[in-house]
Amino acid sequence: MPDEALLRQYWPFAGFSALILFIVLRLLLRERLALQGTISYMLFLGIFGLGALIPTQAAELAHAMGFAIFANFLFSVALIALALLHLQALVSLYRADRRTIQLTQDLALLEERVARNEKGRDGARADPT
Amino acid sequence: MTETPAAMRLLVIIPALNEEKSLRALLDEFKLAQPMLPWATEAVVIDDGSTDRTAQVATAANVRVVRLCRNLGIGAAVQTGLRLASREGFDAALQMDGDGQHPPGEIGRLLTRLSAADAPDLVVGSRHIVRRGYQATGARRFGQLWLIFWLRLLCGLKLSDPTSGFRLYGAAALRLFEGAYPDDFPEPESLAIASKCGLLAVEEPVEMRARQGGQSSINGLKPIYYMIKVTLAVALAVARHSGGRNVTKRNAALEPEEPNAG
Repeated sequence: MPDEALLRQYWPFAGFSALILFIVLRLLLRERLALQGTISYMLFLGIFGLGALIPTQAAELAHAMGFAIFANFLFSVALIALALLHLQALVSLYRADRRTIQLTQDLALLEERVARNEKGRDGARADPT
Repeated sequence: MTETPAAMRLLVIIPALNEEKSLRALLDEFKLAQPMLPWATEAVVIDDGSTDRTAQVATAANVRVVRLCRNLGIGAAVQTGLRLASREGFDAALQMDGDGQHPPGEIGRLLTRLSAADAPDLVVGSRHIVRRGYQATGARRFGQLWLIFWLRLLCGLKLSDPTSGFRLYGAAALRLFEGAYPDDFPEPESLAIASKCGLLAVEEPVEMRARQGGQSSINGLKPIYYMIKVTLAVALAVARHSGGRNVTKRNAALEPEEPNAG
């Protein structure tokens, strides 16, 4: 069983998770972030916070998964979570990039068409015959 | 083909990034070659977010200019031209560099090849068949040889100049690539896609020149990145399109294309 004194040290971690969760919620309320992209982020923060609030059960889970040291378990889970969140960000970025490229092309093609139409109209005005 | 060549329309796409030094001469040369071409031909310069006077030079030469408000890269610039060609009902589109490497006098050769009996879908101008004019040397040639081997291994393509950006897209290739075209360093990847989507890509010997101005985008450590990226991109393209899956799937999540408005 993990040392109770050690487990008490995870409370600051819970506080840190809660702080970041609070910042994310604040950004959501101010519409600086979209809910769609932050659900997984909040989910991970919630799991981390919960793990710090009930360290005994979390430590038992870590032991059951073969981790001798609880900190290693937390470190591994944090790394996996970061990798997944980064992957999600890359996918979102790719989608946004594709849309930006298409919109940039659309804008350029429309501008060219407008310029041609205006040029044609000016030409017709100059030479009504 | 039931239409006579005279009724056929070709759009010449010239992607250009900071090519003010070479573009003027290229467009003058194109205008001299234009009456000799068997198809009705228009040119469009795709200004890929240039910071110099590329767009002004093209406008002064009285050719069409599409100005991208930011640099999208060669692939998206070419795709912009292909979308324009498709939208306005052109029968084919030709891509040529804005740096003067591809002489407009050679366009006729590619057009003749496109109209040949075997009706290819994509005609690539190759500088390595008859070995006239500018030839890639050193590391560039080594890279090309690797890509020749790679495309032959994965797609069965027997090409001598897979990095050539002097190419003619027939109707089927135009339809395929206006929906989605590979991003950066797109030439070898697009050949793999065309091959896996059942298009016939052939080569035609052409004479090329050294670039007439500006700087190559592949410099410094970029050749190493180029080789790794293109090698992986070709393999991915083959995996993605094996069984004839359509290239336009990549853009399925995007807004629907507006209908042809001429």
